[in-house]
Parts: sequence; structure tokens; C-alpha cells
Amino acid sequence: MPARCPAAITLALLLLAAWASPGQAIYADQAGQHDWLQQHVGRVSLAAFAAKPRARLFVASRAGAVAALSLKDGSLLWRRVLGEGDAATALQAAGARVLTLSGGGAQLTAWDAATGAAVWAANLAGSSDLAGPDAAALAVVADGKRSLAVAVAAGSAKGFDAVTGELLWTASLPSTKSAAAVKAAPAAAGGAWVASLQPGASRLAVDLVSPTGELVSSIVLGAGAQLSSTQLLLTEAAVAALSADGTQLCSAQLEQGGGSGSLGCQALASLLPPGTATEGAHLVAGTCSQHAALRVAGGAAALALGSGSGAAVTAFVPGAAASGCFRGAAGGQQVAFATPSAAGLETRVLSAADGTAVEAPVSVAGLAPQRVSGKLVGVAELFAAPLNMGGSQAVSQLAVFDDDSLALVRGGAQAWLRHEELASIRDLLFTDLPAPTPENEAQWLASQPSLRQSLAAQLVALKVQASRVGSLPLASPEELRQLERHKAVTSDKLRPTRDPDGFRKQLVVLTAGGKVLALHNGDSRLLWSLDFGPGAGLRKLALWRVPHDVQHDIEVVALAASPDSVTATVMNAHTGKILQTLTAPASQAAGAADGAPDVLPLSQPVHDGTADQHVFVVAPAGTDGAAAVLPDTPAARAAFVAARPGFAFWRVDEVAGAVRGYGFTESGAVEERWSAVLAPPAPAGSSATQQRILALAAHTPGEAVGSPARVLGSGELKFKYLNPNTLLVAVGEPRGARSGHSGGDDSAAAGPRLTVTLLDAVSGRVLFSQTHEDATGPVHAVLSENTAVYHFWGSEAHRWQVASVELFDASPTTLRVSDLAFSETNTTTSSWDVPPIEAGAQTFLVRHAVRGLAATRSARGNTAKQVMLLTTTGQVYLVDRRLLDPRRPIVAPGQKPTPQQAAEGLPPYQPELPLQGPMFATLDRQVARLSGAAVEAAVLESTMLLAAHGLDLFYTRLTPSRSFDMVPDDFPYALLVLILGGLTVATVVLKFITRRTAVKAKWL
Amino acid sequence: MQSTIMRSLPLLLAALLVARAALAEEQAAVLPVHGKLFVPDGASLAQAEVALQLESGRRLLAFPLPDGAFSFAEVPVGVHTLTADVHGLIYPTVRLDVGTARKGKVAAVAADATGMPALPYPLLLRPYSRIEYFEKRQPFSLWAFLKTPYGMMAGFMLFSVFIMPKLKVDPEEYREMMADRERERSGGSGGGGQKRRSD
Repeated sequence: MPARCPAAITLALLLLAAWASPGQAIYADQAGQHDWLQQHVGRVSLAAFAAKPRARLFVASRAGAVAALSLKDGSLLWRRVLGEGDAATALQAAGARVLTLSGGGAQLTAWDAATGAAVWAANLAGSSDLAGPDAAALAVVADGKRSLAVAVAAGSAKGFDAVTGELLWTASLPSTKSAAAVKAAPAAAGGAWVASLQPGASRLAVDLVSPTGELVSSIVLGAGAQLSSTQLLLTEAAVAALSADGTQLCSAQLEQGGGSGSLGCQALASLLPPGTATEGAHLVAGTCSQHAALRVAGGAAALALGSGSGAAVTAFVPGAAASGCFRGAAGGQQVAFATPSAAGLETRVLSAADGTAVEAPVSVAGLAPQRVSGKLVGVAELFAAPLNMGGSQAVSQLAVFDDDSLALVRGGAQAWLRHEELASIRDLLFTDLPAPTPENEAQWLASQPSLRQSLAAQLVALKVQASRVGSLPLASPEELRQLERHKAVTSDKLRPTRDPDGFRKQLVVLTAGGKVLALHNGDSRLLWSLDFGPGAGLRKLALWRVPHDVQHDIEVVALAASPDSVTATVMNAHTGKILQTLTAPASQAAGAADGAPDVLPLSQPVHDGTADQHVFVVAPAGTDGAAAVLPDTPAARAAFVAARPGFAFWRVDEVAGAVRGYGFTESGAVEERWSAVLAPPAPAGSSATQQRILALAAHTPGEAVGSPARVLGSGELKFKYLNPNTLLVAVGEPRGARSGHSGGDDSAAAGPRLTVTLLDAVSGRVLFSQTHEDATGPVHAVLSENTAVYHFWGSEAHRWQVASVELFDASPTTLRVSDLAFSETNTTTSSWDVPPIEAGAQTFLVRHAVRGLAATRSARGNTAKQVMLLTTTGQVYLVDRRLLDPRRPIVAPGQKPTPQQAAEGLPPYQPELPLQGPMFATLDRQVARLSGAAVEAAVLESTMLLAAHGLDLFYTRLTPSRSFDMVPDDFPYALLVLILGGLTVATVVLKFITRRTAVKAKWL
Repeated sequence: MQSTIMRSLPLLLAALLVARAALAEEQAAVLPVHGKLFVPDGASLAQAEVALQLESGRRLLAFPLPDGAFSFAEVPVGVHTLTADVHGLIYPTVRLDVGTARKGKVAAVAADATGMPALPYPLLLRPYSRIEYFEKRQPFSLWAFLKTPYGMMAGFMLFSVFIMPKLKVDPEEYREMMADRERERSGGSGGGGQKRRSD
């Protein structure tokens, strides 16, 4: 029966299509398709190499991260982030554990070296018992087969089993009590040396503690000079310290036995080669017995300690950074040196004993970070250890550059480079990628796999889909990996050019260290970077020129403001070339208050023939200063003059507790237009808690509004009050303002109040104001369309709360059908119009503490709005606008909403906002220390791009109303073709059958 | 002289003790807080954190040990908020009263549960529920499939293969059929003519 054949195909297709469920929800296997998370540690301050059980690198950073990195490719194996403001001050690897001291030296934590889980922890001292993080020390001492963690703080030494955390002994060390600096190191004879220095003292106390916790000996070593509490170094058999003024090096060998001795002190100028700059001297900790390394401004030296009268310099490398002294593979004591040079980082390993070369100087080509001024970026820290990797023995050197980047050098070559400067992003901007050209298209095609490879991959893909349906393991893991690789290489999201849908963009970021980097949003690869250095004072990034044609490149600008000028550095966004540097004077009127000028963008760019030129107005601090225009061209000046009458900006006066509105006079001088004292200073002697301006929020310019009106359930039309100059000011008590006298007599007084005012920033008119009782800061707010949403602490409920305010223009409608049909809809309200305003407000409870709020924005504003909560746990949680709508109907439990309520499509009111797992934009990942987010609308209305930054950088696509305007990525094109093919076959076969039947029928 | 000192020694000692006690009272502005997270099977504590948001605005972090135990050594007296962040689990938000209601004692209530029930101290926190970050793939449903464009296309295909041939009536054949019936009814025996008329 020929008819069976298409039927069989159909059935097969039915089965194949089983996975194609409607909609575009994110399934676990879709994670990573359009999102990525780049995890960072920040500027590394401590590092430890471990050879066993696996070759690993453990690092601790100033930002408070403790992490394990792969030595092979630098990937992050695990990372823990300590509390804000905290950082590890000691890091030791001990077999299966990594030990850190944190919390100012008071907290000892052991992390699992394989997973990063906290295994055991001990509190060593009260925070008031320690003079600072230098007053606690940690050493790992071998005791037979066991590793012993010796922690010294506040007058006692404690011995822990490094693996289990069992406290084995406590030894009293009175000399370490109230010490300014304490160091501990394993002693060559077993046990641990503990050196301590009292504040301002010129004598060191050195104790030897046995592995069983007995105090074996105590020595006091006198030096002729006052010693520095930060530059103290202890090795297995020697001690060294710098004098408090940093000019002398004092050292002595350590021997068992009590009594007193002395440190031999020498001037650094006499130790080091003549003419060496000796400023900024510091000792580099290491693991040798009698050798150490010293860094000064002019270079680095290897030292032999306590030989004869003091220390001797065995090797000196000018301009270099030195690692701590370490034991080489053959047992010798070595120091690694790295010198930045234009040809690449020059590394060498010298014997600390005699200065002979262990590894000859090699220049690591390509590893030569440079500032835009041409100055080489220095090496801030160098760590080195001999490690056996892949059968070869070589010294691995970890270089931390001044720009925070982290590189591992091995065998004279760069093993990997991590851009840790991305851990401190200050500003982020999305821009278009270059337009497709024949050249870059050809380049892309050349990087693509061949047709045969693609066919093979398609076959595997079919197998995978079939195995998903039948739950059969048809594809081998190797094939799956192959498919993943193929997908990764061929994915359209990686093309180096822009696409018509506006999905492929580049992220231009500005870091705290003054670096500007461009990343591809497909896979976070670095496109270009420019290092201006922290001295450039860059604060903000903005679009500069957007060409109308595709031949020209987009230009971006980095702005830096000083009290008397604003500097704009214009860069080509596609090549990273600096095009020009413009300076605008911020001429203040005489006697005006000091302060940075405001740089204000004009709302509309200037069309100057071939491009849209963005214009910035520099408004000097204070009043009466003359405004300047960037760029200072006739067209830009004309645009400013045209915009001047309606141009307004605002400043916050913290001292007076006021917000002031400013504008420009005819002559272009800054003039104050209005001021609102919202938090007047409490009169002297008043017991009232000071009210402060806690938060300010304004509209993001250029927000698209889908519709200026809302249809209610009753069919009534409500017009949104869409004033782009709306300003939200929250005034109240910061959290904890009353903690000093909580439970006291003020319990009878009124609780803290939070007042939120919506102002018009042009006229200073109050649009809306409401007060929350028993509410305090911190307050975070966002404005979008006619809605203001803010997040605050409800002290009575002891919960976080979110309030939303919606403003409507209540003036009688003059809208006619003809207006809708023939005139353009105006979606903004002028600040000069004073319509009656109708406001709705509602407050909800929410689980998340937040670091900020943001709102989604789409190309045309039709897609559902969502408010983004940037949580303290590093997640971005999306709350649908409808859930925050003040009009959510109150429906008694057990009852159904009325038809009118149901027609509005709002969920019934619940005091608490729901928590739904799929509403996390960050999926199951966390952006450590989340600090901000940027949203960019794609060309397609349904989609927007989100980048969230903090210590990490996360990127994803958002589709709040699902992808209604595009074919889903997993659309089974093959199935469509098969069905169409099947239909064609069926048609042909049918025709044949009908003919045959007809003929048969006629023969009958 | 010596005897005077000897006599006043107990007094001095007592005074010292009182001073010490007063000092201790002063220093008791901090208290330790201990607790434990209960973790259901299948959840991992490897990346878990417990955050204590102090009323002063500072945020302290503790890392639970493998048994779920966590501790903050020095928590200032006040009313703070404790939250646990464990991948895939939702724990109660705890209102932690450290030494304000009762001196030297810590009391805890679940702030986000109705009625704010008291929690035991030392804390033992049990998760409210699990949280799924991803949508679950729906098992195959024929009806849902039939509603998709593919389902409709496949349905149409089946229809065209199996049903359509049965529906196919050529107008010419229909006329012939009707004519045949007409002839049969009239009793005529012109059946052969039909056979001959095949084209």
C-alpha cells in the first residue's frame, strides 16, 4: 500500500516534534545560549601555589574574594566572596584545605581546596583585641604526617589540625598581646617562630612554639631604629624588618635559646647599588630559610639575611618586581624577577644564595600592557613557585599588573591572562558592532567549519533530538561535545558584525582604574582596550557620534571632570583608536563653591550631515558660571541656544537638605530656578533624628512609550502623566540612625518616617507626596513612564517593602477619534502644563534586599514593562509591572473578581510580591557584589539586552512578553522541511492513487 | 601603715571587681550569634552564605560549615535581619533581637511568616520551599502538539492522505454516477456503454 509511506513519515515526525512546545520559556538546557557570566576576583593581593593533591593556584583579592584558579587556563574553579569591606589578610594552602585569615585577622576559615566549601572556622580574637590585620598571623607547620595550622592573635597561639579543624593546643604568648604586627613561620627545627612588634617599638620579640604547643624559647631582638609595623618578615631561620622611615633594613638569624640579641641594621642606600631609588621599600614574604626579597622603587633584590652584621644583597635587578623567595625543585632558594618592557614582560629566576641565573631572562612576547600615554604598566605583585605540570618542571610566575590584570607565565611563555580590571566596572554602554562588509564577512566565513563538518554536526543534532524523544542514549558524550563545539563556533551570535535585529552589540565598559574595554556580547571576548590610568579621572561613558551610513564607525566619549574643566576623550568604538581629546572650561563665577561641574547631555543629538552628534553642556558648580558646549562647534552651540529656554537640571545640597533646580540665562550662565528644602537640618540641641535625602531618581532619557493612555476594566480611558522631567526624592532616616538609643525612652515617640516626593525638575512643582510611617532607608528608586517604584525598609513589619506610584493626567479629555487617526500621538507632557494629577499608590512586601532598581525598556515601549530588583545576593529579579500596579483589585478570599476587575487583567492584590524562580534574569547564577545594570533595547520590539555588573559581569537577553516577533531559536526547520516534503510526496502519491482507482473503477 | 593597706585590700579588690563587672557590662555591647541550617537531601551547602544585615546598615557574612552550622562572633546589640542564601532553597527571613529585649540573650522570629512565629535559639533554620530557576519541560501531550502549527500541518497531511481520497468526487464522474443510477432505475441495460466510454 503506497499510502502507508507518508503516514509512516508523519508518525515519525509526530514523535520528532514532541519537544517543540509552544512559547519561549527558559529551560535548564537553554541556559548559556544567550547569556554568559564572567566571574572575577579583582586585584589579587595574596597567592599560594599548591602542587598537591592537584596543581592549583589559590588567590585572595583586595575586593574580598578567595578563589582557586586552574593553572592550565586560568579559569575560575571556585570562588567565595567575603563580606563587603572584608578581605583575606593571610592565605595558606595546606593539602586539601586553603586557610585564610579575614575579619581584620580575627577569623580563621578553612576552605575545601576542591570545592571552596567552608570546612571549619575559628574565631581567634575579639575585634577590639587586635590592633589591625597585621596583628594576627597564620603559619602551616608540618607535624609528622599531619599539617598543623598555627594561628597567632591577641596574646595566644592556637594549633589546629589543618584538615579537621580540631583545636589541639593553645599557647600563651604575652608578647603578641596588643602588638602592632605579628608574623608566624614554620621553624626549620620544627614548630613555629612567632615574631611580634609593639606599636612604635624598636625591639622585636621572637618566640618559638613547639608542634605540641609549648613555648620553647623567647628572644628579644633590639634594633637601633623604630621598626615599621607593616614591613616585618619572618622565615624559617631569620627575621627582617624595615625601619619605620623605610630607610634601613634590620635583620638577624634566629637560633633556639632565650635571652636577648640584636638586629643588624643597614641603610638601604648602602646595601643597594648606588643611585637606586629606595623609596617605597617593602619586604616580600616567601618560604625560604635565610633568604628573602626586597622591592624598592628602583628595582628588586634578593637578600641573604643575618649573615655577619646583617643582610647582604645577593642579586639586584633594576626596574623589576620580585616574588617572595621560594625553594626550587632541586632545593635551592630562588627568587623570580619580572621587568616590564615594551617587548614583553622580562622574567628571570635567580638563585637567592649567589645571584646566579636558574632560569635565564626571557621576554614574554605579547605581555606588555601599556597606558595610552605609552607608559608601561608596572608589575604590582609577583608570585612564583616551581611546579610540575604535564611532566615538565618549571617555575610558574603569577604577575599582578598595576591595571589589575593577572597573568601566569610559565617556561618563558604566557600561559593565560585574566582581565581582572573588569571586576570594577564604573560605567557600561551598549553600542552597535561594525556593519557587515565583504572583508569581515569573508573573515567570518573563513573561520567557519567546512560543509562536511557541518553535515556531520547536523546528523549528531538529529540523533540528540531523537534521543530526547525516546530517552535513548543515541549520541555519545564525545559526539555531544563535538556538537557543542560546532554550535559554539558557528553560532550567529559570535559574528563580528551587527545584525538587523539588533541582538549583536558590543559592551563598552569603563573601570575604576581608568581602563576602557570593548567586549562582544556573544561570548564576552575582548575586542579592544585602552588604559588611561587612574590619573585620567574618567567618570562616564557616552555615545558621541552615530553615523547615518554604514561606512563610518560609531564614536564614544569618556568624560572626566575636574573643578575647572571637563575633558572628553573621543574613541572609535569599533577600533579603539583615540580620535581626539577635547577640553571644555568650567569657568566658575568668582567665589563660587568648589565642586566638579555637571556634564549634561542635550536630549536630542545634532544632525550634522553624515552623523548624529551628541552634545554635552558643561555647567560649572555653583551659580553664575558660564556654560560651555562639547563639542564646541557652531552646530552644537546653536543646538544649545535652541534648547536653552527649556533646559533644566538639578543638584542636591546635602548640607541644607535641599534639591535645587537650575537653568541657563540668556547669556548662558547657570541660574537657580527653584529650591526645595526637603530635609532641613535639625536645630542644634534637638533630640529629633536628622532627616536626610536618601535617594533621588529621574527618568532615563529616551524611553519609548507604547501608549499614552490606559483602558480600565470599565472601558474608561485614563491618560498617563508622562513628564520626562519627573524627579523622585526620598527623605527619611538612614537605616540604623536610631540604633544607638533603641529600646530607650524614644519608644513612645513616633517611629521613623519616610517621605517620598515626586517633583517636576523644571518648575520645582510638587506632583505627589506620600509618607510611610515606620520606614527607613536605604531607599532605591526607579522611574518609568508614569510610574515610580521605590524600595525601602519597613521597620515595624521588619520587612523590605516596595511601593509604586502611578500618575494620571486627570484633565478632561479633548481627544477625538480624528486625533487618533490623523495626528501623531504626543507621549510627553510638558513641565509648563499644570494639569490636575490623579495618583494611585500601593505598597507591597518583598523578600529581597536590593542594591538598586532598574526598569526594562524596549524599542517602542509596547513590550510588557518589568522592574528589575538588583538584589544583595547578586541576582536580578524581574517583577512584572502588573504586579506592582496600584490598581490591583482587592478580591476577598474565595470570591471571584468582578467582570470589570477581570477585564483589566490585573492579578488580585496580595500584600506580598510573589517569588517565582523563572523570574530571575540571572537564572541560577549570581553576580557577586552586584552594583549596577544596563538595559539596551534591541531593534526587535520583544527583546532587550541586559548587562549586570559588580565583581562579575553578566549578560543576557530579556523577552518580558516572550519572543512574539521572531521565530524561536530552537525552531525545528528540519521538521518544517520534512513536513513540506511529506505533503509533496503525499500529493504525488495521492494523485497516482486516485488515477489508478479511477481507472480501476472504469474497468469494472 | 602596712596593716591599713592589708585592711583596705579586700575593699580595693571588691572595688576592682565591681569596676571589672561594669567594664564587662559595657563590653557586652556585642554578643555571639550561632545557628544551623537544615538542608534537605540533594541540596549543597558548598556555596551557601548566611548574611546578617545589621540595623546600622552593615552586612556581615558567615559561611556555613558542612553540618550547616554558622556563627557570628561579634554582633552588636540591636535588632538585625538574618537571611540564608542557599542555591535552590528559600529560607525564612529572621528578625534577630540581640540583647535588646532581654540583656545578653538572643531571640529570633521568622519575619516573613504570618504571625511572626518565634524560632528556637540557637537558630535552626529549615527551608520553606525549593525554588526552580528554570521552566520544566512539559511531557509530550498530543492535544498540545495538535494545536501547534506543526500539529496542524501534520493533521492536514493525514487528512489529505486518508480522508481526502474518500471525499474526492469528480463533477464529471458524479454526473455519470447520477446518470447510471437513473438508467438502473429506468431498468435499461446500457451498462456496456459505460465501459466503452473510458477515456
